[in-house]
Amino acid sequence: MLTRRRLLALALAAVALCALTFAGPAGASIISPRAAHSPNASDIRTAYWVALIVALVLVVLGHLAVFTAVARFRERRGIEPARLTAGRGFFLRAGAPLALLAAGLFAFAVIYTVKAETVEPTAGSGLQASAAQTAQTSVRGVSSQALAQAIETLRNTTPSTGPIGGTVKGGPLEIDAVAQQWVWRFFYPGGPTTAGTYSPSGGRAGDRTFSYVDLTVPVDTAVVLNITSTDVLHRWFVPALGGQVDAVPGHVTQTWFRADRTGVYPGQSTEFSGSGYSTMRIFVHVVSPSAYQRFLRTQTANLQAAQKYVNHVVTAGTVPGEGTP
Amino acid sequence: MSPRAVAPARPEIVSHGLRRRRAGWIERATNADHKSVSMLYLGGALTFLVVAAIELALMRIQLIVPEGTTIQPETFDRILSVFGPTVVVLFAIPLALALVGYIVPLQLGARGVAFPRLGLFSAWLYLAGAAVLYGSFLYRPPNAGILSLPPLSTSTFSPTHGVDAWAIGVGLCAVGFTCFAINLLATARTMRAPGMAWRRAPIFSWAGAAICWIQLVTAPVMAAALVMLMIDRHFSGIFFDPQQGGAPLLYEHFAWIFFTGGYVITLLLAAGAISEILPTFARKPIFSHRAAAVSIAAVAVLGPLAWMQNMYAAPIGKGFAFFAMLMALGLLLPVGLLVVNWVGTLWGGALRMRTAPLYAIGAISCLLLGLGGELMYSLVPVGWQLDNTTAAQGATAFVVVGGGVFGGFAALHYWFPKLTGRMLGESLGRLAFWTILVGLYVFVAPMLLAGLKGQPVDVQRFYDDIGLNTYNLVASIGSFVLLAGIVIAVANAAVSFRAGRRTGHDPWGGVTLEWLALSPPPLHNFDAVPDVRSPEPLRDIREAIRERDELWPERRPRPPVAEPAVVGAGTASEPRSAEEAAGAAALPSESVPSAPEAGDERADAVPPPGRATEPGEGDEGETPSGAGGAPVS
Repeated sequence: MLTRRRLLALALAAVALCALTFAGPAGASIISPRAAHSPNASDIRTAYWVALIVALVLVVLGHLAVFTAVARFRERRGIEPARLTAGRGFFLRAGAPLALLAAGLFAFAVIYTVKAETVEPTAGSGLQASAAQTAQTSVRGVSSQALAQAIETLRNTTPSTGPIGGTVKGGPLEIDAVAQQWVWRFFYPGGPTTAGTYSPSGGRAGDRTFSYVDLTVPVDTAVVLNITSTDVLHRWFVPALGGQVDAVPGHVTQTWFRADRTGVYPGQSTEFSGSGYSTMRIFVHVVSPSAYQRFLRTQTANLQAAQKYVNHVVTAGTVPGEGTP
Repeated sequence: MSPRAVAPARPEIVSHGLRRRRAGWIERATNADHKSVSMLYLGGALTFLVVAAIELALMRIQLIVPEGTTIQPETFDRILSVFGPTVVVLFAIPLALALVGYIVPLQLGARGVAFPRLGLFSAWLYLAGAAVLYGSFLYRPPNAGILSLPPLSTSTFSPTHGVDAWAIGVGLCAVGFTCFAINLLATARTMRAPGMAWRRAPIFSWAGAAICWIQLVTAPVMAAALVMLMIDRHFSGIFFDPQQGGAPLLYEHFAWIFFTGGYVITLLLAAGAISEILPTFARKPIFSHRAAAVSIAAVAVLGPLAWMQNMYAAPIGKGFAFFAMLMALGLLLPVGLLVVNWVGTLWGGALRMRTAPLYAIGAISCLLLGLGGELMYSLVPVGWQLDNTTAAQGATAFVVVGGGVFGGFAALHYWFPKLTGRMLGESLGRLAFWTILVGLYVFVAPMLLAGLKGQPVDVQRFYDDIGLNTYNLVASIGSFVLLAGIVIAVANAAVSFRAGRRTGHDPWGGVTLEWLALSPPPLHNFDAVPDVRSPEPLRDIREAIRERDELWPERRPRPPVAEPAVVGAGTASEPRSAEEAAGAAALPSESVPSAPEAGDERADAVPPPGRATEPGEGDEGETPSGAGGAPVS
């Protein structure tokens, strides 16, 4: 009686597992990650599905084998267990396919790692599509040049080049993402600034347009993020637009994406950074190239106005229109 | 005349006056016997298992509803920061060390350990570390996260003394574990029974040695990292401070080496215990002793080397990430072969479905699921997506609960009679098993799914607009069920420790040496240590006794207690001490194959413990026949 009940329970567990597995394709949306909206995110999704199928097959096979053995070879009256042991070479034969599988997965993952890191050119409908953007760079390298750039980023004095919202000729749009407790700050390239207008440090030539929390980028445009941190470890993660990248003080890490559709893509920092960690969200607003340029102009104007206000408060000691604070 | 000539060849009780009887707790705290030390570890580990489950439930209470306000972020971070070390450093590793420290010397036929006081010292360090970590709740608990990664844990960002408590607590434990490993490895190296070559050593002893090697290599790394962190914090060091040229990544490497070691230890504890339990309860030798031993060793080498698979998002060279991936994928081979081995062990056997094998099979199932997940995010691109999301955390929970709780309780159910002389309650154990299993699934499944949608780990709140409310609610419910199951399991152990049904020295019909000793074993473990001729020494002894009884029925001891059977090699002709005679009288029920043992527990349709097998059928060439076992004159 008891034995039968236990057997039933085990069988139920196996059935539940199988159902979970084979119902998977039907309700694929449950076990699928957030939809990818960038080529690198698509590569990551491909790797995910391959890994999922391999893992599921292995896990289900393992369960089937174990449960079959448990169900079939129970203690029964008059049954004596056989002293069955592995023959010579059995484990070599059993191990060979596993080794091949591991090697295959390794090669596959290496290829997809490189593929996901390769920056693809801006599409025709992207920002400044006329620029020759054939140069494909690979991100995530930490070069000394990148480090130098990080230091510049930290000093907030990267000189502006090119027109409003301009990309580096032939390259992707480079945006600096600087994490701090507990907010992300994004510096846009080529911001038009007048000397001494809005920097908190008083303003210098080349101060760049920036935004907190919300990153606005043009659609169909390759964007490279130079990520760093000014205090503790943080981690960039916007699921629809690629993988996770650490923000490490003193290092610049890079990732890239090319959003294929306008909209808002939520993300969040995924490295514990203190009491405000869970509030450290990211919203990537993907807009049309013209809207992006409009955004840059508005943002710059707002920043300048805010800086004027601050300068007035600091120098005059009064809030404009209100008298002494 | 050398003392050898007059000393008897077997131990005697020698006493220089009566020992003053001390209070029980003093005796418990100062007894350097490896068994007593292991019970200290075991008590600590089970206590902190419950504490960890409570902490998990507390954190899940906060995460029942989006943007909940039950627990403030500061409090949540404190719970989180002690939860990590509680699970790994105060529960998983000590549980493994407790079982290894108790069982492995017995399995190898050692009469003690090489450095008993070092072993006791290690337990003190462990308990002191736990006291320091939790003592911080009297003033300011740590709040720098599960790993206390700098720069967050430097004095700039964590000026309070909470992180100091974290560093000192974990550091003391790490030093303690190192001492433990030194002691056990020296014991395993020098004090094995005659004939106990490593190729004959039980698989759990292989796992135990592997666990200790991992501790010996990885625990000092953590201790060093924490010393450096303390220098940074209090003596203006710049090891990890990036503002002054330090490298926070260095600490990240060190911490992951240690914590990955803890993860692998959990795995090895379960693998070793399963490899002992399945053969015993299926009444079959393990499918391939050599393959199991090699697999265990391979897991111990490859697993910790894959530490950088936790750092795919960090600025490390691509080659390092690929190296970690290669090591992690390499685990597919030994882990897969272990599962093949276990299935082969069950195949053709006669499985007695008691609580220990139930836990063992549950452990296999959970480990398969957890390691399947681990296989997925060990691929670099998948790791970018799943690492530090609740999906990766869910897979880790499968391994920790599957390996640590199920594997640990499988081992406890199996060896509890040896540890205490009592059975660990079987029906409550089953109830606990199913409760934990249901709780684990209900807890982990939604976490996996939420992680796929990008829910990060360690968060104090989640947001309504990302559509994960149901997942979090269900996961919270699951964590409460999990807590209930763990409480039942630990309470069962606590009650059985005092009031479990008494049992004999070998309730399961085991074939390894620990079942030769009394339950619980005396201070010197064995009265007589047999020569070991195969991986199944007790089977050899039973065979030899059976053969003797068939060939020379007149030598059959009768009545059984009047003339105890001989278990030692070549010792029958020697005079025995009173103590041993008493011990041996209780010992070998093998000599009385029909004698009921272990009470009514196994009365139903269970054949007598002697393994009725065909002599000469062979055991992978290790033993030509059963007669090759311990010679009995």
